[in-house]
Amino acid sequence: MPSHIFIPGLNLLSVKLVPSHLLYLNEWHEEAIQKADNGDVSTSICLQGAFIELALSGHLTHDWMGILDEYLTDDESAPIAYSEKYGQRLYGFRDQAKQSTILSIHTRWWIENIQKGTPSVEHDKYAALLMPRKLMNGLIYDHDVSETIIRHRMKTELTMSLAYSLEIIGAADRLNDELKMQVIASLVDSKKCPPTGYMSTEYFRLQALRILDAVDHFPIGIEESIDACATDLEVGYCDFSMVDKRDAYMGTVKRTARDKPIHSPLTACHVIALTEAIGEALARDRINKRLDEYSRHMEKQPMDIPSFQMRDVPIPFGTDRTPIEVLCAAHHIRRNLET
Amino acid sequence: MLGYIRVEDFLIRTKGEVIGRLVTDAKDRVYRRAYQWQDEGSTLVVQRSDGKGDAVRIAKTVPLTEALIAFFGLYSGDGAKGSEDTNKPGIIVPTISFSQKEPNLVRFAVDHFRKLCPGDIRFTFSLGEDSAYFMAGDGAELLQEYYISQGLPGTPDTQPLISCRQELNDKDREYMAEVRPDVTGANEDYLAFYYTHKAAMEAILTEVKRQDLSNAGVLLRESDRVTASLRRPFKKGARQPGGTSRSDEIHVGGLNGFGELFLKVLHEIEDSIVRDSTTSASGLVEWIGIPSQSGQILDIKQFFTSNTYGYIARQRPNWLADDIVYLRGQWPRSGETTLHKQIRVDPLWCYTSGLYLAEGTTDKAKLFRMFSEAPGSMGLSFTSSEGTSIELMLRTLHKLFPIAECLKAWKVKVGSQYFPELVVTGLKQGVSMLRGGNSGDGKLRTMEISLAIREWALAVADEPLTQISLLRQHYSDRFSHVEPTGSGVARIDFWCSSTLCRWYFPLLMYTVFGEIVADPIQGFY
Repeated sequence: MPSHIFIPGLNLLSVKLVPSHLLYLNEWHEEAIQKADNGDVSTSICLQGAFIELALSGHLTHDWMGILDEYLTDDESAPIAYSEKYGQRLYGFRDQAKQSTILSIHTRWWIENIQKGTPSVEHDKYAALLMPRKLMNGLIYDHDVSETIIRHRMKTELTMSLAYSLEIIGAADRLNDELKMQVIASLVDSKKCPPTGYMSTEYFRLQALRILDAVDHFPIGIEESIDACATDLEVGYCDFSMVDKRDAYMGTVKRTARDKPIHSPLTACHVIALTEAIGEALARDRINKRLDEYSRHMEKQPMDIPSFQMRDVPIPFGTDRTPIEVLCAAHHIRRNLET
Repeated sequence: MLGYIRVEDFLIRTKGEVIGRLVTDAKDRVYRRAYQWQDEGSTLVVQRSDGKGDAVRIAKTVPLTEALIAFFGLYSGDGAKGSEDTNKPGIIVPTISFSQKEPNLVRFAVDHFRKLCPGDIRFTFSLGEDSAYFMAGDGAELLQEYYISQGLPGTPDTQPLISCRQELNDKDREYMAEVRPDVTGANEDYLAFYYTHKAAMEAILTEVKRQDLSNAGVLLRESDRVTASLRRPFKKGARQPGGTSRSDEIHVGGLNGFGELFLKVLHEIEDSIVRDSTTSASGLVEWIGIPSQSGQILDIKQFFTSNTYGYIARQRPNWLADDIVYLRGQWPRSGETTLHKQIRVDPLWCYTSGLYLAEGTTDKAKLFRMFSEAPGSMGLSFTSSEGTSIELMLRTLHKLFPIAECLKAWKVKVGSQYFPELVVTGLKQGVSMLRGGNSGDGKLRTMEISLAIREWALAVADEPLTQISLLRQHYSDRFSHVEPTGSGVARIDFWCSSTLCRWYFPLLMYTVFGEIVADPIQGFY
């Protein structure tokens, strides 16, 4: 089935889209392809455009590979995240915008898989782009693009980059025992990849361990983190727990009284995947029950996809709806219909 | 004189009730207070209607001079707005205190508090510091000198915690439980250092503050106090032994219960300037005319040719062109700049002069020394989480410089508390968050997140206005990036070409201090 590691459980060919989803996705897609045809495009737009086409038409209707070749490939044939024109959306960012990230490599690899079929893809070519990014510390991340030391990197970035890389390296049949051992050791090292309580971080950790056939090494107690991510939410889950926010430097608890968590269909997809790692049946039932309630909620309010806000200021801080979130919402509605 | 604070008229009209809304640090809160007052000739004695708090003397009608308007701008940036009542969330109880280290600004603020409220008010000057400052470097030397002055051979060894602090209080226990990834060593040892040397460190800080005030010419009255506020090691700011996290506070006594009325004045001044309205919404502030059309006209060329404030490093600028609309000038060793030929020193100009002194990111000491000595590199940049402040600063710069040259670029700084929100913003678009710089405080490398936060910033800039903001109107395409930073709510930060500083700063200083310091080369500490 056409699926993507980023959205567990979602079969893009059998998404149940309600009219409001269809309207949103069609409008987003139209604007995206217009800009992409003009060279104003990023790999994340290509990926979401491809998701929409699979959900709406069952196959890719736009030549995303052509877009990727034309605008999102550097002089050394490496996939890059942003086109030159897209880089101009930020002032004075043109030089930095030209960056070959693990996500851009994975997106190109995934779209090529969809377009040509997996057997026709040169997986080794993509794996060769990723292997130099493997560090002595057993992790694979974009240290050439972002030189930030590991302690200050976002933990989701670390596990997500790793899971994406391992998926490709595995497809290229280059996951040897030594590499597996090094990566597993890092994933279970609480200094490099401490248990975080972030749903996305833990989901990608689980995915990486699954690719490595080492799910048994997933940290225990994920159910407590999942429960914490439901705090102060009527429905669903936030990616993180507000009350657990701590100062990165001083270790002190942050003041979060005015900060409001948001539920996210994407996060709920990650939580569904994480329930497999819950050892205790009661906890698993409790969380599944909340997920079922969330599915019913999304069926009633299919476009209830909020954004954060900065304390009391009623202005969206960051994005609310995106194609990814809408497709995840549709996935939850389908789950509800199936149950 | 540009207007009046109509205290008596306002109190009579509202029957003594003051109510208002306060949005700071992205917190939206209200304040409310009922007052009674006594007529004592040209002044009123105002007190809370429940009889609690201080009886505060204030003129029935307070003339709003350029300097007093600037004082309110300064307070808007550096002054405390109050704290939330724990039993009544969303209700703020204002307190009047002021955070400022620069001695000349401290003196300016003290003088204006005394002018505004000529009764029995008193000041407590407090110097706060992290005790880690005394563990190494300059702080350790000060500590050693102190002990030697007390007859000891040097700094004595730190006692075991059990000896210097036999019973821990709640804050000690909280401190002991905290984990600081960046700090090596044990909390117990640090707490022992704190209690062993607490008295000595407080004495040093008190003396430092006392000396600063004396040098700036702040005359301490008998009722004024100088104190130290010492924090446990690495509690805030300092990340290594010898690191500093100095904070200077002025607590104003004798104004207990007056905070709501003071805040109301501040808000009415700001609001009437934003709306360019002759009278503020509740009539508390009344300008002598439409604010943007009130105030003396300054001829820019004349100012920089003959005014005592028209110097930098005892030099004056050269003039390259003088046409119908613009001047072109150049300071020695600086670039050419285009300027409007005149500015009006209106309430906006005065208010933002004080606001910039509080919130602008320029080193304050340089502003006071630049008249007599080369200031070195200077920058003109401004940070605020509130759209009103951003708008007012841009309006001010537009008065002096052509629109296209006012702002170089802008960014949004986001404190670490909100990094998880940034991560989720990226995830919603299928990307992870890549930071820039070794410690992650450089330009965010993930454009999708920066672009999403740009929309937030433009909406924040628009939000308090009835029209679209200058930021959106003229500079929406100059958004550079999101910058992850240590702490704080998300805020807009813009910066200008450094050549503009040399023109704006002398005018700003003249506006604030022109009445009280005739010669800036000699008159500042």
